Amino acid sequence: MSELADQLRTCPNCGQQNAMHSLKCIRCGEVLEDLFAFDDIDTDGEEPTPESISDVLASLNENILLTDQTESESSETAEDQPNGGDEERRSGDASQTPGWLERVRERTREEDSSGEMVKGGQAMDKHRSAGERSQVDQAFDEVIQRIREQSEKERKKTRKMETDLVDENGVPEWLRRIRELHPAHEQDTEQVLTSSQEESFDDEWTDEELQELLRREIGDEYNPGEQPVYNNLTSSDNPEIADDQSEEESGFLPIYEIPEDFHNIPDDDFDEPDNTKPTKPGNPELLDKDEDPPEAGNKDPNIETESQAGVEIQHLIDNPTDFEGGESEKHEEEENKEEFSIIESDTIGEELEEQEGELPVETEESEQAGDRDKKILKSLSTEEEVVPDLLLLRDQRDRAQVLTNIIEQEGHRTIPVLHEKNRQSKLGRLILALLLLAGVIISLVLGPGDNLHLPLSLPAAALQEKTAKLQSGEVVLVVLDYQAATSSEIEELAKPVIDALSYQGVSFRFVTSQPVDLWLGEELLPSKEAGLAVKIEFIPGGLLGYLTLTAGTSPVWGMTPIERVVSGGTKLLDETSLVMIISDSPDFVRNWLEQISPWHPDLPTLAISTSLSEAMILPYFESGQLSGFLAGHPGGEGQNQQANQRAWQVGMLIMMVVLILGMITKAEADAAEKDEGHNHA
Amino acid sequence: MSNLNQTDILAVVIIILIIFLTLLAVILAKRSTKKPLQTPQVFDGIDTLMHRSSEEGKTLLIGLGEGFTGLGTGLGDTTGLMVEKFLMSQVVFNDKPAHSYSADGGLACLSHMVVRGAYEDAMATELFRSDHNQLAGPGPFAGIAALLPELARDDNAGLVMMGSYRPESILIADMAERKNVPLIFASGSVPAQAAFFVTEAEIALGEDYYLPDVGKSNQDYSQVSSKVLNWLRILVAVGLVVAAVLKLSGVLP
Amino acid sequence: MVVIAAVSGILFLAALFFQPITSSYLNVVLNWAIVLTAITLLVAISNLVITHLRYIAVGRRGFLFSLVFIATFAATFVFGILRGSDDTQYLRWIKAIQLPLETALLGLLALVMMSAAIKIFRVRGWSILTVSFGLSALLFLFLNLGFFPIAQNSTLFVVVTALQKLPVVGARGLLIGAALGAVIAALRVLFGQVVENE
Repeated sequence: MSELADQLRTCPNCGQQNAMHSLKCIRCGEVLEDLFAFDDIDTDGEEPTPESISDVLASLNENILLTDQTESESSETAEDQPNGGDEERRSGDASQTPGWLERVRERTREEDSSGEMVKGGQAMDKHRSAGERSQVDQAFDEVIQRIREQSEKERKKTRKMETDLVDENGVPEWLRRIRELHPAHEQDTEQVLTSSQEESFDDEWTDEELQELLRREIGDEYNPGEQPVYNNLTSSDNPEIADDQSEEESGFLPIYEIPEDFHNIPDDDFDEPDNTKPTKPGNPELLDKDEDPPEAGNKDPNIETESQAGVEIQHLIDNPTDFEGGESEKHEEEENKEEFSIIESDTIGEELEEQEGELPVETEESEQAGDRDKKILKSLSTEEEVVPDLLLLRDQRDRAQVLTNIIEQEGHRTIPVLHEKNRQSKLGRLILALLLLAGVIISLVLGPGDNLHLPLSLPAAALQEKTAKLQSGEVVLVVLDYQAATSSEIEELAKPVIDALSYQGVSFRFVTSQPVDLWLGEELLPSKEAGLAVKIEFIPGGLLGYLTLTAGTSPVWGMTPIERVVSGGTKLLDETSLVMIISDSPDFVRNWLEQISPWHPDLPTLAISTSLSEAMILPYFESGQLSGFLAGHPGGEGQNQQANQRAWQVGMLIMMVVLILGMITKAEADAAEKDEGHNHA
Repeated sequence: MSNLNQTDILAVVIIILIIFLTLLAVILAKRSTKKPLQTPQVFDGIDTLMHRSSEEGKTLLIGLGEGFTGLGTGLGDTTGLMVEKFLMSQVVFNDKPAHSYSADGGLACLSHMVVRGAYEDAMATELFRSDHNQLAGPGPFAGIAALLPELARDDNAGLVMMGSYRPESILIADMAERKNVPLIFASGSVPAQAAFFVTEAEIALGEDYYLPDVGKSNQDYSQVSSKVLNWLRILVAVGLVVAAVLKLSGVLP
Repeated sequence: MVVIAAVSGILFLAALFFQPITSSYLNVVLNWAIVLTAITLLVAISNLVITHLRYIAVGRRGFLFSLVFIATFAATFVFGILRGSDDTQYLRWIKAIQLPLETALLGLLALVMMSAAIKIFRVRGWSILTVSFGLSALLFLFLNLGFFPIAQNSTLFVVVTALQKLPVVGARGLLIGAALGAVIAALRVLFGQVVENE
């Protein structure tokens, strides 16, 4: 055999030769307890993970809380291994071993020395008296209690602040937040108050919660009455704890970031643990992944009993309950309890599985672990919910939402107003235009020359009756207000009336406020053969001008500008027997009847307008404000000669056909869509 | 003292009643926790069009109608200016400025003031150009003729027509359809509403024109006006029914 | 400015009601308004001319139309000054140019209405509003054709008259609503409740 034979170790189980530094036998997997045997640690053959002393201490401290009643159960200790024998064996061979072996043995000694430290710590723990232990326990409990009290105070302060908050409408803050969760019942403008302060409804553990937690972990054996009371954990007992607490408190307020899908409904931790957010207590995500998880001194047999609770809780994880505003606080506490129990059971199980052969820690390390514990507990107790720290008005949020929608709809038309360009539509318009033109032209060219005898409409009859009663010498004020576009239609209607009146010997006064009527209105002037020389007068200011001449009177100090321009001035309507409005706009007729006529209620008013205005003017005729009017083709004798009524009828018929065609095409399109839908289905 | 006839007395009563109802609505609005009344959708369309013009970097056209000084069909119609004021405050820094067109001299001058004020409020007077809002024409048809070529340009995000219009303004709607320009129409002129109803434009029917609520900027105003209008409608309806009953029963001559 | 508008509006309203006393005041105020209206129109026209001149100078797309506008405006203005607005020849020229242009514009309206009539149901779909619109349009177009002697049949006459009252009823309701809306809007301006943007 070569020199390597001295470096091999024999497995006590199967006899397999293994390397010096092997942890487990390569054949049977048996832990080679010669090298890595620790006191008071269960050696179940699994490979222990290398962990820091502080984690060991932390786990030991945790287990102290849990295992006060189960000292006997958790007192499975590892056998003390004769590490010293190894050292003797090594020293004996030192003179005969080569250099590399010496280095290996030195390394082994170092490891062994660390193991000795762990062994020493554990031995110290083991040999601690009950009094010393209780002192440590008491100190730790005091620290915990102090932390709890401080958190309670903070929570009360926050709650008081929030309960005292009342907005201008007298709505409490908490109620407002609940309402915000239901946008359908919002008010006009609300503030979505976001605060950097966490909602601390569920961030602290009460005594009852802790007891419940302990009960779940340990089972029915846990008796809260026998537990030492953790009181007055003050910083004076442990300055390091105080420093840590101050650091923790100062850095307690986490930096929140607003998620993209921000809403006021708190997220459940079960589905999406997030390292950036402070999580509920017990969330394994919070634990630093670089650090070792807290170790348990002994494998806790109660984990077996907790597996059932873990299953239930796992069910809760898979089916988290929804957050309801009214039950937020209680629900949150329940969730916290459940989560904590989940995490505890998982954590403990993991710890015990992974921490085989851990050595006990010294007192100093125990303090450090205790500090770490406090840090963990404190950070675990932080609020899960991410609260944004921006103050947004609801209007601004609505606008942002509108902008978001618009950005999302980019490239799509948001206002469904237009159809797509296509040749078919242009062709359709052309066909329609040609149809109309053809119909009208044909009716004009080929139609019968006889005039139709259309019935006279009631307003037209009233107008005829009114004009027929005028006597010679009476003055008719003709108000012109039409555009060049409608002059052909207007003049065809107005001309016969004016001619008839001029034949009766009536005097006219033509006024207009539209500059264009100065030259358009000349067509309506009575013929010179009647011996009347009439000119059209311009009234500046439009309706204001008419109002001035109607409602106002001349001041004592002189004439106003408009009175200088318009002859007769404010007596425009005083010398008039009848007012005839010739306008293509129903709004002008309406404005005249509403603004001007009330100043001379006894003065009859007639109107001549386009067919477009008939519907809007008719109510004024029905109410008696208008004595009569002509709109469109009124029918009756004398009116037929001015326009080809046959062409007019053809045009109306074509319009009716087009309207029916529109209905039919729409119905056909709907039917086609329905068939298409059926085919796809 | 004055020669107040029956109509004048009725007018005074109505005005006092409206004032009272307005004050009541304002007081109730501050205390009410009810859901606000739904505003006309056409103003949401204006809001959307405004945002679209900002996003697309295109010109937003605003038509203010022909009614302010009485030369046109309307008198004292400033609702379009109210909407223009809000629109301009939002589109001041757009890639392309909004253009407004009026068919009334007084309206054009007021529009000029509103636009200038919007730029001054945004401290961007250097961006203001006087050709951003102009008189389209001294008359309604001239206004239509002036707006049509502006609408035919390619870089238009949309057209908002708010003011007094004639039914003949439907030609503008036709051009907007052919150029695929979204059109929003709101007018107090009932014939114009009827004419635009057959087009593809978003329209405000009835008295929705008098309840502008664009971008939630004047929501309080709109809500109060809506409530007052509702109460007045109820009163008018009750009055008409009572009058009809009295007339049928012979009490009223 | 809000105060000025409110005060002058209230004074005007009061002047309308207290007529014999305030009649002359009303006359004066209205004259001011008319003068302001005229001035604003002049200012707007000058702004329009300057704008189109700027378009020509910059070479904006479609500046040829601006050129035509400027030329036409200048010619109308100059001839009007030289020959006077009462000159019949001058007015005849204007009428000869304006009348065909605007008549053609209105002629397009018929085609637009036709194409709109065929598209309305496709655009707005089937709703109570569109169906009632379509049916009432068909009915009244048919009644106005004059094919049937309605007046000769008393029953038919009563029915048709009753049907013809329906648009009157609707129009009256619309007018009342629009008037109320206008009054409310005007009163809010009168009392200085100007809308402010956020």
